Amino acid sequence: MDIHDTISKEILKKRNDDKLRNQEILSYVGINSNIKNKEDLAFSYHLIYHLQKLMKHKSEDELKIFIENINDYSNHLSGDNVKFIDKANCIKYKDTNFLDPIYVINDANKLNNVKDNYMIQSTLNLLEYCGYNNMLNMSLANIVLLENNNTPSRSYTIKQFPMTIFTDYEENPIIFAENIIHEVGHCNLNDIFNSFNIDLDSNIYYYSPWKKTQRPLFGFLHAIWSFSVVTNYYKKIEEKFLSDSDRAFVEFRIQYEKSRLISSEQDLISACSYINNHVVKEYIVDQYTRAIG
Amino acid sequence: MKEVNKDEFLEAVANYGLGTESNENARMTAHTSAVTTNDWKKIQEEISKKED
Repeated sequence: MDIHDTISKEILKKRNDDKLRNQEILSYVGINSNIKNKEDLAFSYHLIYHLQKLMKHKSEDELKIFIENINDYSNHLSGDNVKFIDKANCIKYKDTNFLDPIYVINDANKLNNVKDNYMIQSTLNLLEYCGYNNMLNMSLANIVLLENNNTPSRSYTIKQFPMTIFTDYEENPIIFAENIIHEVGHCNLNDIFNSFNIDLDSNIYYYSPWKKTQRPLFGFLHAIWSFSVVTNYYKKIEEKFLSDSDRAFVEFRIQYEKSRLISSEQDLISACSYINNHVVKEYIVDQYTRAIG
Repeated sequence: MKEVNKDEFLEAVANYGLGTESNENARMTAHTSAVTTNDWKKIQEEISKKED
């Protein structure tokens, strides 16, 4: 079994535990959920977050009405493919821990199938064409769309919402695909850390050339990982049929990210010494090595 | 009416580490595009100038 299979197997194993756990948690408030696939599981995290907020900040009546209406939520989901939703159809929460708002999906009926959106589906097809099927299949369930053509475009993930990415819509598919695979990379690394029970010391810091500041080990490894994924994505794109202008852009992005990744090499060697699992360590280093090569 | 056991729910959420409160390692991983659409348009303009 190669390292990719080992990683996938562990993620799927842990995901089964997570399904049972979330079903149990939801059963305490009378929600009978049947979490069948990763899309159901991804939605259950939103539901659990929203219920906590209702319990802490809203009236008993509001909580009961919401639970009554949610009923057997798993019946609301159709099929096991990636969904998207506009932030306007989500509940907005401001959390002091985060710079950006959290958009919580509290109604599965408002989720749309990406197959019904040509641009998003084409962008995902581009990523699949570049060999990211496995990462997308493993770690992407929901895309929350923020702004249209924001400059610069912004995207993020939140650890409490596995398999959900939050991103501005970007009209250029090459850049939109970069934003998506960058964020899916974060989801994927969180899945890996979760599956292998990787506990990272939050008192260890390294310099991040992306944020130009010291970041905790967790954030530093995430930056290395996601920008390695992005660099490897652009390398794949470079091999495909591109116009001259697209090629110039892609080559520029590769060189730009490679220089920042290379500048972090010694810190990465040190950071890896804190990862207590050789499979995870090897997986991160492999992605990085291909990126700088 | 379904039975709502808030205490058990919140206790389970906290025990499983799914609480809304987060520590440093649960923080958001945010990303602002290194290259914006405007940058991209400038690159295309520069390239078209060269082609001219």
